Amino acid sequence: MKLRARTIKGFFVKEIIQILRDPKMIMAIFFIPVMQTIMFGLALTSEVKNIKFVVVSKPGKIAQELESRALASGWFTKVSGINGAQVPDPEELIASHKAEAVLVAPPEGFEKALERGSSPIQLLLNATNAQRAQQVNGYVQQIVAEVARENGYNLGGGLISLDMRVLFNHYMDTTSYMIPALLVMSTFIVLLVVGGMSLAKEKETGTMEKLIVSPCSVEEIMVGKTLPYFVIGLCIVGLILFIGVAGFGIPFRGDLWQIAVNSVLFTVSALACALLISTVVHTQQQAMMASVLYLMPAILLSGVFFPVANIPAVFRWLCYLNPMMYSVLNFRAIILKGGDAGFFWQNCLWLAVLSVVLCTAAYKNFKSKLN
Amino acid sequence: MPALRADVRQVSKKMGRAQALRQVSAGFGAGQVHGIIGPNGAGKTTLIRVLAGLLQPDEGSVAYDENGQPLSAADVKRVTGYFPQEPSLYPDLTCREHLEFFRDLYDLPQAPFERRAEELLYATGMTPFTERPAGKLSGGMYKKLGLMCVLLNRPKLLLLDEPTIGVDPVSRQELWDLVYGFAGKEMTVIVSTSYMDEAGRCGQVHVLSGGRMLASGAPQEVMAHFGVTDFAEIFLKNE
Repeated sequence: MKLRARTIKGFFVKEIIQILRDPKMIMAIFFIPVMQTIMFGLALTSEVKNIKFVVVSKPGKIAQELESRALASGWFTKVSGINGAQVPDPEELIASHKAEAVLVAPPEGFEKALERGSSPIQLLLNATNAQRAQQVNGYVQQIVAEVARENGYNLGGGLISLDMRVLFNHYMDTTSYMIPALLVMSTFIVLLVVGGMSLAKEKETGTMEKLIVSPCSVEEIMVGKTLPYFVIGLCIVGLILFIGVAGFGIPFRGDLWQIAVNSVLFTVSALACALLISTVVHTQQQAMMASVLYLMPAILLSGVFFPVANIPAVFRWLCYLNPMMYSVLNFRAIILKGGDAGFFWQNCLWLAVLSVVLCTAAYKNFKSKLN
Repeated sequence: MPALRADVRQVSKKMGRAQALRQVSAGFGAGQVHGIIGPNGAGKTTLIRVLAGLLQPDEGSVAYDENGQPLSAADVKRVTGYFPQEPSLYPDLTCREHLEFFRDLYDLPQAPFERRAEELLYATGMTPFTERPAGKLSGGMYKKLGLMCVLLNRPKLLLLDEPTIGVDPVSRQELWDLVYGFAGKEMTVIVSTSYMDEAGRCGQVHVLSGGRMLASGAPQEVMAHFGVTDFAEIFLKNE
């Protein structure tokens, strides 16, 4: 294996000059991850909000309290023009999309229902979005339980009173949860697409032939071509982390060295994937298509959007082969929890194993293709 | 620093379904300018790429030696310069940045690099264009820059695949002057061309047609062998 610092420096300078002179590359490398972070950080929220809520009951203290507490929680909104005491058909409110959740008291009112110890209180939900409906159900149950308890009702075997404590993300803020994952996702996308295309470009334009017949080794071409993107990957991680902490106020409880170790490992694995893709394609367009084909399942099976535990066991093993998954787990743990040494090193180990396997495969494939 | 000798022995190579080279044998003596001539599709590029080590022959072998001492593939790679038909350069890098990039690829120390770069820029008349990006150079200048990048390493074996294709007559003349200027005891030049008038400029000519080597020798000998006064006639006769 021949690796000369001079040759690698030559590649590094060349790549950086090419990137800096190409506004589209700068756009793809820095602007897109920043935009993704800001956009997804703001828009991609799994919190259920703006639930149009109606309490149908004859006027009473509990009905009043249920409604005001629901509105004060910030999750629910009042449906204008509807008086809960004069609703002939509560189901019609759901059917006509006027309301998303309707809490219906028995004719004698909430007080009587709660006194009996059981809860013949009806909750009508629009479950066209089942996931959202489940969350709304949870919110309403929680509000009913709180109001009942504060008013001295013993719900007995009726509603279960949960004493819930939320750890690490006290406000269950989705942004704090999403940004560490977006950081991995955006960096991975950029490195895979731009890194893969940069190598494919050398093939497509014929410059790769010149490199092959030059005295530089396969290792020098590989390291020289990927090193600039490795540095860029680390810069993107830093940039998104800065936006997350300074812009979105996400907590940063871990140590910087943990971030650095995890970033290095997952950047290497992303570049190894890019290198592997570049060995099987001939043009930049093919590299782009192959990257997209890889990225789609890789993102869905990484835990960025859907918990890995929810994925059926038949497909879950694919998650364990996905370097993005370990990076997402580690970044979330480091940023939100402060990093648990055992958990951190366990994920780092798997990430390192995957990186070594991917790098070896990329190296062997790259070498055989060039030879 | 003597030039390299290359010997192609019974080389056959299939490119896809086409048999590009059939049992080709030729000796490329050290320190001479060799011309591989032939019409389009004769197998010239395949032969040059085999000589450059970019393609492995299906049959036969290629041997290189320096003063009678055989050289390993790695040694050959270190002292070979290859100029492809399309001298692909980086359009966004300037001429100077190209030379600096190739300096690092060849691991050339700064002092000899500066001397050689200046010499090459002067010889090619490219000194005023050092800061111009390759993408904004004319066709002739683009080829000259490609040649400069190859010559920067002072190769002992220079392989040129149709270097003058698509350039105007003045640039063609300049490119040939450049090749002759650098060829000599220290450099063997193998150039492929489909321009028959260029064959006369070579010290040795190798006539390739349909993947077969028809003849090799000095231009006059080859023409006498075929009984023609012009190289084009060889191929017209063969049609």
